[in-house]
This record gives sequence, structure tokens and C-alpha cells, in this order.
Amino acid sequence: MAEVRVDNVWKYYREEAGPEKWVEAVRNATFTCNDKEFLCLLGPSGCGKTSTLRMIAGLEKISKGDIYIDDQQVNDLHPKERKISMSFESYALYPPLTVYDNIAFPLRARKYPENKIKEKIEIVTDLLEIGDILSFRPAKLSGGEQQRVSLARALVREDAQVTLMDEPISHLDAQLKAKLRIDLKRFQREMRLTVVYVTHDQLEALSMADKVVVMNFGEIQQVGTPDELYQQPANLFVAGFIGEPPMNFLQGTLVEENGIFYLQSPQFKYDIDPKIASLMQKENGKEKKWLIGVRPGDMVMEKEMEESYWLEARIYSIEPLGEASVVMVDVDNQKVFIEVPGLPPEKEGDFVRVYFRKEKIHIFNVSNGKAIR
Amino acid sequence: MADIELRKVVKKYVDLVAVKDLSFRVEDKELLVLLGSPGAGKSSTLKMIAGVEEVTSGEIVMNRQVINRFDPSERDIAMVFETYALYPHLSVFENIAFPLRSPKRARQFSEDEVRKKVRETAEFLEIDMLLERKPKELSGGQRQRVSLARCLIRTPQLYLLDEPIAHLDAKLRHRLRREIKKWQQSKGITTIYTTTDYLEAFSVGDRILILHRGILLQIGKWEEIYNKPANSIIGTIISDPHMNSFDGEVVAVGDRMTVRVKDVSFEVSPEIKSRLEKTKIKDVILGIFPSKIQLVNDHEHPDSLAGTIFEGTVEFVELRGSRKIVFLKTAHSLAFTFQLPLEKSIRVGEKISCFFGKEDIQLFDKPSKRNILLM
Repeated sequence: MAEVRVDNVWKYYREEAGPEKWVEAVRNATFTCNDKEFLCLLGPSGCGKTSTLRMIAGLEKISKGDIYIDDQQVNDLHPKERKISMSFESYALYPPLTVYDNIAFPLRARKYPENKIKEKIEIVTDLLEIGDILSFRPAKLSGGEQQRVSLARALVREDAQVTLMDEPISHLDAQLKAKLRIDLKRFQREMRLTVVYVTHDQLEALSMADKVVVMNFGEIQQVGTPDELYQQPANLFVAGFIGEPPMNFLQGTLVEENGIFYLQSPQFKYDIDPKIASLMQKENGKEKKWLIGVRPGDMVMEKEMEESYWLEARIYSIEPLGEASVVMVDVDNQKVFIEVPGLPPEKEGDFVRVYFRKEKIHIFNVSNGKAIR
Repeated sequence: MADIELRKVVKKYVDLVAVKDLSFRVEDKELLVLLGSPGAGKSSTLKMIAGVEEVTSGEIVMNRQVINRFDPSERDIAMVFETYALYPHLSVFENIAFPLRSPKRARQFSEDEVRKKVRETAEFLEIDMLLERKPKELSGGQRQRVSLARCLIRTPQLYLLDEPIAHLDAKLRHRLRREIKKWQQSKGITTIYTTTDYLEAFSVGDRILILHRGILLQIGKWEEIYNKPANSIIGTIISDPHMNSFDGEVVAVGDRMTVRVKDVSFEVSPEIKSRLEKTKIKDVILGIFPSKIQLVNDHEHPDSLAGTIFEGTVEFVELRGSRKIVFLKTAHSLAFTFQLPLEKSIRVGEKISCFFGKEDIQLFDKPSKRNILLM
């Protein structure tokens, strides 16, 4: 059993300049990483994800709130007493030791027999493809290799109840990254590890995590499965951060005519579900402006359109990406992304009509960014 | 106006051959991408063209003139180095303005023009708020953009861009790959660009050259490479997840021709069949891109499918934006990877039937790894 519970946790730092100026790095964070779960803390740099991880590790003091590992409050426990293993962005390898001895270090400290150590090192070094550099010293390794050694040292320990990782594969090249995402996830499943993993890369989080905690400006934006974050983003930030190319946002107004509700912009007007309209009115009575979010894959581009609503657009760029292409169009001086299968017959500069699937849109309150659901 | 040609260029470092007999041509105003893994020889090639490394043998020809012996400063080439090579004591502004103030171009630009050009380039790369800083106060990604700005501010004969956006975060990288292409097109400057990312290569390149351990594997438009990869190694370079590939043996059954992989037979297209008959090749690698595999149930007329149907158990599912990557294992323990739209629900342990067409099979000669249609 290993469960990490973060309960109303705050972290504030005193700013160097002002005498009484405080920076709130983490604000009232609450989430649980269940036993054997792979949890990702995801967000842009400065969002508080690393501070949160460091508080779990015991490398930073908690300003307010509690952290529990297995129902034991660990606020004042030394990192050594927390039964965690760590792999951080800065590799922190021991320069005089070989790669093998670096990885063996935590096991020797715990008095494992040498033959057992050898066995365990073989498993992780195979996984991370560093079997042929075991006799080298860190100074001889590339950044990517150092990062893998640091990762191996964290994974080799099995007495640790929780494995904490901070951007462990962010410095690797694209191919190795793609491979390690899958291998790491498999390893975590097979070894039944409980993992808290920090990354700024949404693709990494979506592909590995069972649960994702999205943070921005020190605050948790949404906690959910990768599917939920992609299909039901809770607010504008999550909607824009998850997905590549990013979600398009179009402005619209809610209007009522003869008891029917419409979403309207200078370019289009279509009726919407009265249930959603009443939710919108409840959420924000007088405010009539909304943002309509549409994923590039839910946009359709055609020369002739059967639908009764569309946007007039001009193609700005066409990016072939193998089996699909990303087309960027100008709509009233706003750039809109469309994902189409194959390569479209149109050329840059052509005029096209664009519409979106009504049932796939997301509606956001302009004033507070919240999604209507 | 510039075209450039490499003729049998070799680069040796002590006991390592980084580039072997490399020949290719880049037309005027073209953007050629050198695509390959780290260590493929991409940077060495650019450095030889720039003149910062010597050519071991072979010729580099620019505008019909051999330039092997030209000093870098005589080549009129702007290059972005992977290591950025910024001047630490100069501000970002001065670093970017540097090429405009070189003795050769002194007084070519007024101070106002310099300021205008620096600002324009910096805004394009989203570093206009950093102009007063020194390089040591910048992050790696910011330094990379300053280095790129210093290159793009010039109007040389040739741009050499060595992984120019590799260290930026995904969002900015995706925006810049579109914008760099537009910038290059509007200025009409011949460009050679390196990357390890095939999507970036597809996106920016007029043509793509695939380099592997110093050897040219294929050069062409992306669709040519994607539809007919010249070598089975290319299946690992231009596809993520990698092309599914299996060692197999050619077996003739009556007048049909199949490839046997561990007791499973795959029928091949007439085009491949006639090639196999001519070449008498027996040992092959069968390749199938993940994007070509579909679920049988998704097909409108499952009975009329002309191709291979196989059943397997879902081992693992990886979410990747709008699609899911599925890892499947068949009863003969063949491992297939393919993709499904995100909406499709699929569970680990589930048994499913998949399908791909004869025309989607890529076949390679096993010893040489070459595409048999190109042999």
C-alpha cells in the first residue's frame, strides 16, 4: 500500500526584494495519488508543479496544509524517512563513480547482496538501454544518457513506496522519448509502482498518466483522467493547454428569438440545446458573450457547404504531417486550425468555407473561463 | 540566387566516418531537410558546407563553383549552430544586430534600420522583451531563438539551420516550424535544415533527405518517402509509433505469392509479386505502417475486405491527443501497433480483429534492407 494525499497545501516564498512580499507558488492544492497509480502534475513552467513535488519529497517545507503518505502525516519527516525514491531534472550523479556504481548506490546503502544488485541493475538498464555504458563515469556521458542513469537509479529501488520524478525524460530526443514513455508506463504497471510525475509536456502526461493534475499560476485547474481532460476540459486554460494543434476559440453571443436560443457571431448563427442555454443563463445571467471552443479535428473545410452555418476563411498555411494535415486559416483576422485527413487539394491563399460539428463544441464563460456543462 | 551541390562528400574524424559518399543537390529557393537520428551526420554535413569543418574528400559546389577551399566568410552563408555560439558580453540586441554591423556590411544599414530589423526578427521569434538581457540570463530555449534571430536577420545566399527549434517547448515549436517556412519562402533563400523529428521535416521541407550513419537512404518529397520508403530503417525514422516490421519468407502458393511470418501468410500486391518473381528474393522484411491498420468492425462491408485479417489481444493502450495507440499481440505472438480515434473505446485484454490491404504492405530485401520495388 502506498497512497499520497495532498491536503489543502500551500507554499509561499518570501521575495528577496521587498521586506514583506510573498510569492504564492502553490495555492490550496488538494489531490490524491492512489496506490499503484501513475499521477502526472502537468503545467507550464512556474505553475507550482515542481514545488508540489518537492514538498511531497520533503525537500521543501510545507507553508500550510498536510501531506500524507499511507495515512501517515509526513510534514515534518526527513526525506530519508519518507520511503520515496526520486529522479530529478538535474541528474545529481556521483562523478567519481561509474554508471553501475551510481545505480547500485541506493541498494548498497540498504545492504543488498551483490548478486541481487546485479540482477536488478540488469532489468532497469535493459529497459533504459544503457547496458553498454555501465563502466563509464558520468562526465563521459551525454545529457540524455545521464538522465537515463538518474532514472535507473530511481527505478532500481523497490522498497520505495512512492517514486517521484521531475521531467525525467524531457532532455531526450524525440524518438527515445516516445520509446521511454511506453517502457516507463509498462515498468510502472508490471512493478506496481505508485508514481508522481512532473512534466510540462501534455503529450507525455496524456500518454502515461492514470490521473492528471493540471496546474497554472499555483492553482489546480482540473484533476481527471487523460480522456476527461481532452474531452471535457473544465476551463479555458485546460482546453488550450491540452491538445496539439490547440483548440480554436471563436466569439459568440447568446440570443433568444421566439423561445429558441441561438449562438451567434458576425459569421454564423445556429440554434443550441435549450438545456445548455439555461445553464449558460444560470452561470452568467446578464453576460451575453461566450467563447466557443472547437478542436481542430472537429472542424471541416469545404468549398461548398451543406450546413446552414459556416465561416468564410482564407488558407494561411498547409502543413502535411503524414496521414493528416494541419491547415491554418484566417477567419476575420483570427487564425483557426483545422485537422484534415490526407493532403487537401486547396492551396495557400484559397478561400474556403469552414464549419464545425455542433455536438462537439465546448462553451466557455468569457469572464471566468469556466466551461458550461 | 543560389543552388548547392555535394559530390561524393566524405567526412572522417580520426577513426570515425561521419559522412560517407554523400551526393545531393539543392535547387535555388528550395528548403531541403536532412532528417536522421542523433549521430547520423547531419551537423557534420552542414559544418562542411559552412566551411567550419574541412571536407575529407569530395566536392561542395555552390553556383557552379567548387567552394571547398573558400574561407567561411567568403561563402555568404548564415548558419545556426546547435550550441548557439552567442557572444556572452553582448546584449541580446547586440548579438542579433552583430551580422549587420560586421566590417563587410558597415554603413550598409543606418542605426534606425538595424533597430527596425532587430525588432522585427525578435518579435517574430517572441524574444522582443529580452533584447536588453545578456545570454547568461536566458533559458536554453531563449538562447536558441537569439541564435536563430542572428541568422535570420541576414539575407545570405544560403541558410543552414541545424536543429533550429529542437529545444523549444512543443507549442512554440509547432508555431515556428510554420513561420520559419513562410519566412524562408518570402525571402526566397535556399535553405538546408536538420531535424530528428519527422513531422517537423514533413512540415517545413520541400524535399527531405534521410541520413542514417552517414549514408543517404532516400531523398524526395515526403509523400514519395512515405508511400515507398527505400529502406526498412526509414520505417523507424518517419513513423511514430514505428512501422510494424517482421522477418518473413516468400512462399508461392499456386499462382499466388505470399509472405510467411511465423505460420501467418500475407498476400502481396501484383506489383510486388512480379518484382519477387523477377528478383527471386526469398528472405524479406514485411513492413506495415500503424496508420494503415483498421478495425474490421469499422469497415462498412467486412465481407468484402481484400487483404489480411488477423485477430489479437490488446496489450496496452497509449493516449496521444486525438488518437489512441494500441499494442496488439496475436496468437502467434506477432506484435502489432496501430492507432484509433480517441472516441473509440478499447480495453486492455480485449480480443479484436484487424485488417490491412495488400497495397499497404511494404516489402524489403532482408540482407540489404532495401525496398524490393526500388531494387
